[in-house]
Amino acid sequence: MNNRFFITDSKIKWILLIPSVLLLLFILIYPLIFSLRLSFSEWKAGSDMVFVGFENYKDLFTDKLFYTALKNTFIFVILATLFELIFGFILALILNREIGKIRNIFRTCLILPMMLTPVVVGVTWRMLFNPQYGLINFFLNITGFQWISNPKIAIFSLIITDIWEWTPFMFIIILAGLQSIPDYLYESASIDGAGTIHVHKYITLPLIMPTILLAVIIRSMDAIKVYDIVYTLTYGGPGSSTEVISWYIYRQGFTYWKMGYAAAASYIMLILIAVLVMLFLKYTNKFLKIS
Amino acid sequence: MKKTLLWVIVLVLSISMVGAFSFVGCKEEAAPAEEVTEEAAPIEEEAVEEVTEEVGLNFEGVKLNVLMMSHPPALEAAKIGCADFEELTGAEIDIVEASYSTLHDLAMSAFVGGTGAYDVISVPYQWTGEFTEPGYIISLDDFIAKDDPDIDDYIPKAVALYGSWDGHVVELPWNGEAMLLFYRTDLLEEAGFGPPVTWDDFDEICEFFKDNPDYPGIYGTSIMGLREQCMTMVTNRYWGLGGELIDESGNASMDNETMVKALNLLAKHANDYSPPGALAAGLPETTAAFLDGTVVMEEQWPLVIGIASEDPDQSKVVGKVGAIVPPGQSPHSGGWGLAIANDCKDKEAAYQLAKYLTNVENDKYFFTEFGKAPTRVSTYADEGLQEKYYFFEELMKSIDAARPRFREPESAELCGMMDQRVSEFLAGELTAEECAKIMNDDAMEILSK
Repeated sequence: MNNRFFITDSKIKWILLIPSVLLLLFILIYPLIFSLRLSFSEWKAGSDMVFVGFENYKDLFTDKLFYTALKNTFIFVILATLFELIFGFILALILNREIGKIRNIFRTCLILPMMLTPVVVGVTWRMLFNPQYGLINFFLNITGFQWISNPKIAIFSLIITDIWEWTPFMFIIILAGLQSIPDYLYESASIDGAGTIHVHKYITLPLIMPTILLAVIIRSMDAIKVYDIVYTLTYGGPGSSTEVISWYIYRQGFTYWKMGYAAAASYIMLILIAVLVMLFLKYTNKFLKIS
Repeated sequence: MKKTLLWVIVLVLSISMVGAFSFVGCKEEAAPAEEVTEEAAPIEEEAVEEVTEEVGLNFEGVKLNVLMMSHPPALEAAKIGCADFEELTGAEIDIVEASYSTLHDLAMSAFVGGTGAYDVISVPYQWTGEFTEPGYIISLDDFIAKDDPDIDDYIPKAVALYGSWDGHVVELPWNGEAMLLFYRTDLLEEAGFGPPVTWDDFDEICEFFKDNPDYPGIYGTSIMGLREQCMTMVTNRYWGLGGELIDESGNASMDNETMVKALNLLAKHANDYSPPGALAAGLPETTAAFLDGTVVMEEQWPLVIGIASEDPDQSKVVGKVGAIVPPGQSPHSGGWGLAIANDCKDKEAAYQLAKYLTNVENDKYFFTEFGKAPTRVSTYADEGLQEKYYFFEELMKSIDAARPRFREPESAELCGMMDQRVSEFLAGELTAEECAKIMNDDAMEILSK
């Protein structure tokens, strides 16, 4: 029998992969290329796409609001992710210990904010932040303090809301990481006389660092796209104090129908994020090596 | 290996970012819009026969999708009206509700994408040009010539503003609104003031109540300083002081002393005379403050406060509220009409639905039952209604006196720009002079494209 009529194992592997690869190319690569083309075009509602070269990018770099949106987004992402990580880590450490049945109740309660629709979260916090009737001012006994109407404070109010909603995400991921650390390591450290700080510094932290890294990347990617709570809490205001990049892009694209311009803004954002993530990974890898 | 991993992560990140842009619109669509399944309202048999005779049509098997603003009175009216229409004609109707800002984006996404998602759309007048010029909504002239919806009974201003474009009727006026100034009759009387006619009168009253130990916790006014409301607030003042947004030759006309004065007035009213939090206050917060009895005067959309102020379940100021055309007598116009999408499959059914929802009987019924703002002259001429509703006569006057925001095809961008710039001014990012100049320059740039 002639061998050429049979497909070898290595070939069949590639043939079977073809449909998946084609599908991926269609749903991932095509939008990427289309968006790139769009960013060099003007495409307004009711008209054809016209190639305009770097015009959209030129306009972007002269738009002060774009820079403000970038600045606000980075403040939001850095602070929100940082505090979510800190709170999530502390909560995970506490609830990783044997504290009886109450642990399950706490875990469930902690996950609840993440389950809520972001629009509900925004509307709820809008009421909580109300300077006259809001519960926050009531409990802090500071009637009249303006959380979302003060341009200097508004972005921090968004950050507080995001921390409340997304700390559970960090908590879950880090808790999973903590539970994967074998008990015998802690037992050995205990026998060797290591204190709590040393245990966490030399055992917990290095072992869950990859998990933390993953959580931070996922969470910061999500925070960059923040939109819902801006829509429900501040509409990007007062002034441009809570203008973030997704809100900016959305309005340019879907309210003003400047699709090319919005695509250009997306690509600038994309390049910046790619550079930042590469730097982040590079330094984290160095840190992991040292650890 | 690490390098490969690095690049894989960067690629995934890149794709997700572009994905975020591609899908952010879909996300928006999913959040505030809500499919509504109407329950058929009970209709008395006689009434059914009577109206069936009037409608005289059978749309069995026809399905219509209606995109409706989630403005409670108009939405409730639409739900009941559509349910009645279903029962009378056999048509099947789905209502998709959307907030003011979302409605524009949903409609445009459907138009540009050619999805044919909506057949009948409630269109605020500022988007009439944007939807009509590219042919997304159709002229109703032929339908009206064949089957007159009592067109002469609509308020002429409503037909002109949220009914017509370029000499053609493209919408049937559905919800007629213009800003009114609501005021506390008891407080003004007690303090010896009459309702304010000019902005100076308004200031004088506000100043009197500011930190007045005889009126603790009472604020002169309550400004909607939320970014999406800023243009409305400033134009009430700008037009009232005699300004024009666009001059006769079609050029922007905002870089002037009148605009500077209007902006400074607005800032004073928001910062000095309103309850704390004015720069993030929208319609719910300001309405609640007025109904709670802590505000003396408030510019507001009429049907929001008008009906609620007389309802003891919602208001602490029942019987103590009056209404007047805002100072300067050139308030901001609201109002929207019902338009038919070009890609609607059964335009006759869609037209009949729009006609039915806005007919003379329903116009009155929807107002008395739900508080939807009428658009018919005959409704406003009803003496019984004039006696029953304290704001009714003033509302008609206000609609007549009201000025429209932009109606150009670039309206959404122009309005968004003004909201943005005025909000930046209120937040202290721009001076009044800078704001007036930038708005003018931006408007010229948008109009010249």
